[in-house]
Amino acid sequence: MSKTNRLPYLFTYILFCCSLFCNAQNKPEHYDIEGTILLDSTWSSKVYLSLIPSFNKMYTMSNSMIVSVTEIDTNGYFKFDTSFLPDEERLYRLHIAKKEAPPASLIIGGNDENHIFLIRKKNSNITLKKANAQIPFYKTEVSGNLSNLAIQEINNISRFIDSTGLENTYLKREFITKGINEKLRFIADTSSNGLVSLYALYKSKYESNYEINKQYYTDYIEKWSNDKSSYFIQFRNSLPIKNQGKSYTSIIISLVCFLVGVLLGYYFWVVRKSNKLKSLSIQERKIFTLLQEGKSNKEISEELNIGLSTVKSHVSNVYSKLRIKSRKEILDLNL
Amino acid sequence: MKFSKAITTVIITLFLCVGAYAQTTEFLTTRNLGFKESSKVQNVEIKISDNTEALRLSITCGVKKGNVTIEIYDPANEKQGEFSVESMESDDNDSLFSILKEGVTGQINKHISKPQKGTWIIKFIPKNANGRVEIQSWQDM
Repeated sequence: MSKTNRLPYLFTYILFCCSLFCNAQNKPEHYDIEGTILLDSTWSSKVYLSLIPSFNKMYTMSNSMIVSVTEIDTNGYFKFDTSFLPDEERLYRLHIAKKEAPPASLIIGGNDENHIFLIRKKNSNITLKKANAQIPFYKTEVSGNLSNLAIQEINNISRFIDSTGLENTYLKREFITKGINEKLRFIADTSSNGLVSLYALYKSKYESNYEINKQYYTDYIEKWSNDKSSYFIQFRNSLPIKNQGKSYTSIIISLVCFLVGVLLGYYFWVVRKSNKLKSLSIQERKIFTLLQEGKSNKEISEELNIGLSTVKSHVSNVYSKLRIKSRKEILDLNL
Repeated sequence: MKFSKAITTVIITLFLCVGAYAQTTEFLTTRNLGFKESSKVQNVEIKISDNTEALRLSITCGVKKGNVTIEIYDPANEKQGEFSVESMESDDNDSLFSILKEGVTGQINKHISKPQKGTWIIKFIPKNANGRVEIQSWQDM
């Protein structure tokens, strides 16, 4: 075949490739959470997806948290379209419900534990694969987002704490629980993903550890100070310590308030002093000055060349205007 | 002779089994609490003695309206578990919310072998809530 004859074929081929490429570009982005779950007849055939707004709400069941529901088919397959969910990385919970229970029902512990936590962010397809176990989501493999592998590992570690309930002595249980919580805090400290780190910390029962390990939490808050997600805001608020910046700000505000208070107090003291003196007449002020020098009515009368009865009348006016009752109070006055 | 020995062994084994079974006693206590909007925080106490071999707890709470938090504390006042249930009322009748109007339930199950001796407390914190809680505790002695 000559080169001229090949050209139309080549042109058609390029056109075909271009159309394929354009199609791929125009196709809307579509992301899902899908998986398989094997359930017995006591469970209803629906899976519910909840958006968990903060780690404090991990074990809260609310009808307002459920954002989607889907059917489980006869093969145990289910699928959620997640394209409407927020772009940011968030914590989600999948749960199923018993037939006799309302859809919004949460079971923690035991063979009927009915939920699993997931981290999902934009552009991630998440797949759940159920292992053959009695508990619905127990040993479920989650793929599609590396954070979920870490979540699974944290779940596996923290399950040891639940299993310590079967240990024979309280001391042994305490010892194992402390070791596991230490391991979870280590994961929280070394994880580069904020949600995974917080998940580990919440699983480690940080509330009871805070008082004996304050420096760890101060450093932790400092490390994640740039993370402004609602999860970290809630966590920071749940601790008695705030970050250092905030504490300096509050000290500065307190100092400024104190200084303003002192200045205002001084201002009102001066105003009151001048107002009190202003209420006296010229003659009364002269008498007030002489009274402060400790002079008697007779001495004042001689010094000002006025009658004793006039002095008495002025003194009485001074008393009433300054709201005092004796000469001793005049001496104590500091106007 | 051999036959009579075997019979004796079986009888002794049976006696031992029955004896061992008779030594384990299980106490089940069930408490039901109803609550309404004006209800306040309540504590339910479970006394654990030296003889308690195991403690099993199953707490189920259902609310039609409002918010309830259940917390479990051991005798050292350490929190051993918690959950909350919250039912919001809405006039929104879209397909999702309409199927969630039946109320909300939560359940926690715990099994503790040789539980710490003392008083275990189940704290029940309702906030303008309307519903019921059932606390079941089994003690193996």
